Amino acid sequence: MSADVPESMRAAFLPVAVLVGLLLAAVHWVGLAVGGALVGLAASSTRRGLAAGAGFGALAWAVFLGRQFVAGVGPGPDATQLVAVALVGAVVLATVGASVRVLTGSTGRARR
Amino acid sequence: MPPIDRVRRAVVAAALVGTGGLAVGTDASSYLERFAPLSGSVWNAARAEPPASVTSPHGDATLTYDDHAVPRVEADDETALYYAVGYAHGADRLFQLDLQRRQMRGKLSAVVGDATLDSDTFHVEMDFVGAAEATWEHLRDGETGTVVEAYAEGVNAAREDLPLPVEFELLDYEPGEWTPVDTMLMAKQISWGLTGSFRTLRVATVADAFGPTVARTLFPTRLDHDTPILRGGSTAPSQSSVPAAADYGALTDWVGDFEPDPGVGSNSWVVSGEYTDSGAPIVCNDPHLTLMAPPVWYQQDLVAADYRVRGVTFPGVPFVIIGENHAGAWGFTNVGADVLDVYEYETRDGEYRYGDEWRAYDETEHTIAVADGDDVDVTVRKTVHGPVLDREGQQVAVAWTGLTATETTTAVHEMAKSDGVEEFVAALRSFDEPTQNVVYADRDGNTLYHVTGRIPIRTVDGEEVRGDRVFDGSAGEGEWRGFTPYGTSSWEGFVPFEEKPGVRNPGYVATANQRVTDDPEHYVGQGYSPPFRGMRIYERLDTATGAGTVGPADMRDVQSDRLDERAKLLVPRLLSVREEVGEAAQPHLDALADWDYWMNRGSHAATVFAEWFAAYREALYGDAYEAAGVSAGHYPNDWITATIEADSPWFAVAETPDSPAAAMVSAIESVADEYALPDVPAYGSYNELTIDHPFDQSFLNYPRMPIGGSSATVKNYRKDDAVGSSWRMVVPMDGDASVVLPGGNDGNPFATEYDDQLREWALGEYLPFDRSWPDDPAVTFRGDGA
Repeated sequence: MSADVPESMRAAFLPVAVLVGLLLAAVHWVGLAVGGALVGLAASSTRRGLAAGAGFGALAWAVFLGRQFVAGVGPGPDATQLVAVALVGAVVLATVGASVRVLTGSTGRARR
Repeated sequence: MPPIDRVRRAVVAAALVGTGGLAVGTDASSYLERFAPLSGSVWNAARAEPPASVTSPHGDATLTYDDHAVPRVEADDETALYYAVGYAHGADRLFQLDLQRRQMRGKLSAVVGDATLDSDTFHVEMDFVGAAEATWEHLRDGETGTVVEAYAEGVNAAREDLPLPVEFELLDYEPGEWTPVDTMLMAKQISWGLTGSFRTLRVATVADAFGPTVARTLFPTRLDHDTPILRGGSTAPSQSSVPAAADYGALTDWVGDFEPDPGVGSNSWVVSGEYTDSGAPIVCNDPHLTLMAPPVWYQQDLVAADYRVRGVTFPGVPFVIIGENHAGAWGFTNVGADVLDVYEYETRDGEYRYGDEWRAYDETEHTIAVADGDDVDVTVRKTVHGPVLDREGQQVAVAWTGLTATETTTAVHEMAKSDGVEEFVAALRSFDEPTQNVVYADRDGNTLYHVTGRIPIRTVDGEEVRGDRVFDGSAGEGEWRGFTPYGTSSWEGFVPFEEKPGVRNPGYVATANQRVTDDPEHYVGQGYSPPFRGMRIYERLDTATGAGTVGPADMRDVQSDRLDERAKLLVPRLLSVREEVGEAAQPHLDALADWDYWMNRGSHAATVFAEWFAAYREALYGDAYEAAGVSAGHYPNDWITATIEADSPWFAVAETPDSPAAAMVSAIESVADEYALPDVPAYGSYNELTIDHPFDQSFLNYPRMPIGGSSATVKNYRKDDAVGSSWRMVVPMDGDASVVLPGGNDGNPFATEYDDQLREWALGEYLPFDRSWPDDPAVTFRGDGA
């Protein structure tokens, strides 16, 4: 999404990007990167894009925990290591996906 | 089971690699496919729910789970019932099923790698599969065979309907179809884990190292105590005999990894209505097996058209093995009978002499697949007596009662349906393996104790002899008449059912793997456990029944008894030599002097005793065994250790201490060196409950917690090898029954019911056997025609 896109359009695109990203992530781990890329593109700057990617990764992780909790299948306290590694994996993948923002727009510093 | 315990160690290495990002060596893509949030196959497996409706080729049934993931299966037709039971086992314990059969088939290395190659080689050489196939051929056309087939179909339906359990994702393989032969293999595995003992070779090795007199002292034919299961027999000391001295150390060290764990044992007792508050009998049982996550047992509650049965089974076996039905309740403990003999032959190139003829070994080639390694070829050799085991030139053929077609599966099926003591006894007659003490009571007030399982009668020159020797196979010594390895046996050379020890309507009988009786009609065996638990249970029952009548709560209290009879024997002896003990250890002796011998979680003296006993044992045997090149696996049992006296021939052996007193003193001083008394941990911290999944990963293992009890107490927990009460059951014939599992019934490590009974179990608490069930089944099975 180009740097010239109005903020209102970005704001409208963001929830769509999150939803599509989560749906894709539920099917394959590449969806985490794609979701990160989409929310990154919806951001107004590269820095914000990367932050949005990381945030998307964290959100996907939180949704995952909630889904497991609702299903009544942990992971429990002894799976802390697994859950932490899953968080790191999600955040890193989504942030890497969001780095696509570098290709399309200016940095936050330039916009200011 | 003990063999699984050993597999656990070997599987760990593979699992460490298999759990992706937790270890090096797995690529990121593979890791993400398993563990990525939302899409990871591990998480999807964890969320697996069975479909609400399943089409069954055998008719209608329902499967309902209670709050502890215990399934209740209801059906009018028995094949429909066991199809649904198979479905439940497949849904809840599929990895356990596959791991067990892989072990028995010698196929662990195919998924784990060369860490399990020794295990695979042993199991292939024993050809347990051949015995299971013979058993299935024998059973398949009968009523039980039909039910077992339906069960296998149910397992496979669940395997196809549901995502694979987490463990398959971690090891990255898919299980093959479950077959009736696999179910037969489970019976072989259970039986081997309880009776596959090479004690004879071990004693021969000790005789070779230290002489026959010492071997007789350390491994007497009969332990010198007066608390057999059936009390009141002759107490005259019996003649001890030991096998001819010969070094089988290489062989016994190898097979030792696949023998029953020395800690395997159990408690059971039945009290007749004469001694109970209600006037109705009570059956109690807690089998001590390997504790693992998930447990070795699977609890189930089955309702058929004409019977109801509930209790536990081994996953892979359709039928309730220990539990109760509409008519009665029963429990098992291991007898320790001698049902394995070994034979040596005169040999020449590729042949062995049998009578007047030279015979070629029956040889087959077998290939063991190894993950990430080269396949290994194994030549399986057999003689007329059974499979040949060979290590470093030490070679014997093995006859074991499980290596033939057996009818135990039929027996267990019939027990579930039995309508009182007469039908139960009729079922027991075909309980061929393993040799077990069974206690039973029915709702009409009958009680029963009987030894089950085939026990061979050996003869040499027409004389009945014990099985505690290596037989001359070439001369046909000690052969089992009517026994056909890997075929169907007629059993005529075995102890008839009526001649096995037993009693009808006893007042009370307690079994804890101790000697069965002082004067059996035929040789039963020598591999009995020390009598500590049996002594204590009888002491408690004698006291309680002497003071009045007992109820289920009293029986539960006995199951939680933690008095260590070893301490009762040894602590006074240790205190009697305290003037020889150095100053640093005197506070430890003070603690022991004030102690009541209970292995309680909060006791510091219990820790001192546990550490001291281990050090005492090592002081008695360690140096001499090491000097003789014999491994610690050949040490005598704790009864010998607790009762050995200064005049024992053992103390004439080189490198032994001067006397028991000298060993006691050095042992307590070594404990004091390690722990100054204020630093001795409370027993519960020292004796930490450690129940692990075969992969030994923290998110799969059960949580650690302090626990009381020891290897010698009624409440049984063996810290060193994680063996203990694998199921506790107190079942009155009139009143509320209570049970508990060491963990949980669900094999899904992410489910609450994976370990939801662990705390109760550790504290000696129980759950009601009676459960409440939701109205809506988890799965409704609809017959093809419905």
